[in-house]
Amino acid sequence: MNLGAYGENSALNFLEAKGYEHVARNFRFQRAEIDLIVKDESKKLVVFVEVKTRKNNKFGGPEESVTQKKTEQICKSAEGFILQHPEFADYAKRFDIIAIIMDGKSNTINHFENAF
Amino acid sequence: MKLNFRTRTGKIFRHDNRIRKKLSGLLCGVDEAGRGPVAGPVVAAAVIFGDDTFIEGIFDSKQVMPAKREVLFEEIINSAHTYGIGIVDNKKIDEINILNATKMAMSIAVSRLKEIPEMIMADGNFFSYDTAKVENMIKGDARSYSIAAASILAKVTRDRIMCEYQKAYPNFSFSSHKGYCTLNHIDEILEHGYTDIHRRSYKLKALQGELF
Repeated sequence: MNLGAYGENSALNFLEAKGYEHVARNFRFQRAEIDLIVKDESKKLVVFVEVKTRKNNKFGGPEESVTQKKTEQICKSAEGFILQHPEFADYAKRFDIIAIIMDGKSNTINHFENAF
Repeated sequence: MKLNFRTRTGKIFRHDNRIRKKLSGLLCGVDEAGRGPVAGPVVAAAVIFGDDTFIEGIFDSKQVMPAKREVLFEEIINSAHTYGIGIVDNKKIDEINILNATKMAMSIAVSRLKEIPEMIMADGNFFSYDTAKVENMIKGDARSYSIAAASILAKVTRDRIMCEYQKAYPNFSFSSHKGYCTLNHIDEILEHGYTDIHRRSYKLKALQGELF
């Protein structure tokens, strides 16, 4: 398993631990991809998640590598997802980043809610 | 070094090795600290050891002296195969209740492990996890080496968090009572009221009719 897929697995386990439900993974719309889509049914909330995984922190936190262009693509792709899944049209939407650093014996998982 | 397996640590170490022999995958211990206090977060830890990692002194964190816990904390982190910590704050505890918050902290701890274990031994009788077999053990922190190690990681992490809160709330002696409901703590609440880190959903009999 490559680093990205490993990170997405860890992020999904982490989000499920926090009580979110899995909706979709690697959702692609035109050229933009969203790593994870989860929901919180009790809050009528759908969350679009960008997962960034790094083996160390030497080049700045993983969350810093999410560029403006990337966030625009994710927003566009999120619109596409809502178009294809109208059952989520009246849900609140949120964009999160999950930053994973695999340095040492424990994975550091940071969850940035409402990241962009 | 010749190991003395007749100590209490030796007994629980053998317990885990017997279970590990029946598995092909990894064995994980999970425990929590901070279900009782009226302030601060609930903290859980998950630990996976290799089968030959013996650290003398590991036992139920409540039965190990605080200074010794600090030493064991470093030793566990250095010699564990992988570990994870989960923290759920007092706001979330008030929102979803302490039992669910404890389960959440434990699941977060497991999700931070570098590998998925085959079997999880959890202290108590309430834990479940989707991708692994779970064995709930009452008083597991005094019966299983991995759970005992997890109990030490959780306890030390939580104590450190409470000592940090001491700086933010100088009117309260969080570094000594750690948020637990001691007489001293009740006096502090009566004098200064609740802080942002108190669990509002906990109704204290001693305070009924006096605060509201």
